[in-house]
Amino acid sequence: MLKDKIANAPSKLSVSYRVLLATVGGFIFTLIVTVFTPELFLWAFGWNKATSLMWMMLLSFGVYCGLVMWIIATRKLLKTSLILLLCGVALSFSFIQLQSHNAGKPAETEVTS
Amino acid sequence: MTWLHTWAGLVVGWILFAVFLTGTLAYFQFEITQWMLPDVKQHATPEKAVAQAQDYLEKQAPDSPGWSITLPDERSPITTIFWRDPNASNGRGFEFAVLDGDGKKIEQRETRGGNFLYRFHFDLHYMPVFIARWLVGICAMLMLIAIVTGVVIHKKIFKDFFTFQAGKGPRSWLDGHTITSVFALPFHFMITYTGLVTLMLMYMSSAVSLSYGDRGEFFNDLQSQPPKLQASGESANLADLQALYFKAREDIKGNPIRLAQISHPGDTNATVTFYEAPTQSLMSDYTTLTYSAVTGEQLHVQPVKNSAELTRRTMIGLHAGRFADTQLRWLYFFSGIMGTLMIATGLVLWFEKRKKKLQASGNLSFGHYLVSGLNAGFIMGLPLAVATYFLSNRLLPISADNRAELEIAWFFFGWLLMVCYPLLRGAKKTWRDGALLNGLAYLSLPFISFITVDRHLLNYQYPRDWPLFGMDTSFILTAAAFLGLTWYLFRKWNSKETQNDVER
Repeated sequence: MLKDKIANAPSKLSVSYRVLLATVGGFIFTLIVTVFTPELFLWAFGWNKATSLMWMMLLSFGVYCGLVMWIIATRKLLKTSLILLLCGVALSFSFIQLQSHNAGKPAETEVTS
Repeated sequence: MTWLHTWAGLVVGWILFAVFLTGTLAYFQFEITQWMLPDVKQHATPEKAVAQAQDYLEKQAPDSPGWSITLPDERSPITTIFWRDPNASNGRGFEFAVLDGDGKKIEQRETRGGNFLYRFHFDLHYMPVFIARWLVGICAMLMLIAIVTGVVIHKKIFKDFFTFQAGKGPRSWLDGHTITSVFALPFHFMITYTGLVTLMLMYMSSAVSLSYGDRGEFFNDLQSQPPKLQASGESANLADLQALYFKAREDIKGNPIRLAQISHPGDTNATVTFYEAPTQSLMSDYTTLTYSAVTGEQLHVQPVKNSAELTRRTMIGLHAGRFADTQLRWLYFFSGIMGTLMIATGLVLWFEKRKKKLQASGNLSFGHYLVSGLNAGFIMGLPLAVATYFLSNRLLPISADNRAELEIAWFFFGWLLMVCYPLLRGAKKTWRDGALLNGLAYLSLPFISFITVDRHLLNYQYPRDWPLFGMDTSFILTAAAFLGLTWYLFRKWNSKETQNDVER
């Protein structure tokens, strides 16, 4: 019913939060994923970090797009927010750990592909 | 999803319209430049351009720490030279000159040509490029979101394609919007994504900083870089750069070269680096070759081998269509026009839908009038801006000061005229009068050329002047389209004049 639809319409604050989370939060999360993955690949498989970083940057626009769509469309905003926050923090910590671990390793010979 | 699609599209729609229109025209930037330099009848060729440029630079800038020569090719008839000069008049540390086929600097009818439209579509104008590129990037990201959500909300894509109904208000605008979107959907998605990739290193610079403290280290990790020799302080004569050019072409199996950069000319450590042009095919090695500019010894050859870097460059190549031949180039252009119309119909649809809903209850808000005015001002204004830019090329005095910047000012004047028009006569009249103005402006272009320059539609020589013929023909067809629109709008609204009209 239209009356119910109006009564249940999201508040301006809720919409603003959603948009902020999507644009700013989504960008930050994308950045974290973009820099975390090359460290992971270097540590786990020994893949050249610059190459992985380049691939992740190429994909980052798609990742960001997907995140924005998810955040705007989700019916469970709180759950989504918590997932993003927890994963973001976890990946950030892992990134910092992996980065210092990888930096401690001896320099690699150049990998060209 | 619909909410996201609508608002993402509206917020950036006007800038995107400008970006798409000028970007589409940029596919023919060299042909546009040819039309805007009708006095350059002798095309520059790369076989002579290097020697001509060296000649010019040795006289003009023998002490400059760096020269840069953009070579001509079949589509571009001029040689563009840049050189570093700390005392440059523009305050940005470099000077430039454009040479014609005889190696003489072009001083008459100075113009930025088609290159202005190309640069505008990501650098905009009258603002720092850093801000412009971020602004355009944000718009492009929202466009990507609009495209993907557009597909998601339009699940019956193919069925609706065949049920187009004209003349039925918002429903028809929706159909128009859907058709132009779907018709070239792969292109729209590709062009938006690759557009973002083109400036990826700027948008994701934080990622590079976080991952590598030093940007240089990142590029070094990707592939070996050419040596950067410091000036030794001892002078030495420059070798014959044209001969080195031929040597470089041999080394890349005859592929064309787009750029030559010379470091420390006149020094014993002078080097020249040639950059392969990715114009032969979509896949290129993007080889750079560095030689000593004194002894001619080859110092460094680097084809790109890294798969990720190759992917990035190929995506940029896809966006710019550098590899495209004439037919493919027209296909790019046609797809770009579809994209431009997609944005235009989307903007109009937004307003028409709300107008229909609110017409019953009465008042549209200021925001609605703003959208309506901006729609008319931009959609009629941008084409008019392009027309006035071309007109200024024919009408401004040949030796005016800052002539190139004056032509650009005329571009913005045409745009401003249409953006202000709704304030004076209302949005509706802006559509009708704007269509008429555009029609007359484009129609006048071939005629004004006939009066003001000695190379025009009636005396073109072929095959040299096919691009100019193409330009004039396009003007006439564009004029026909706008005049047709004018006639249609006159008839449609004159017959309704007796009815009560809610819209201002």
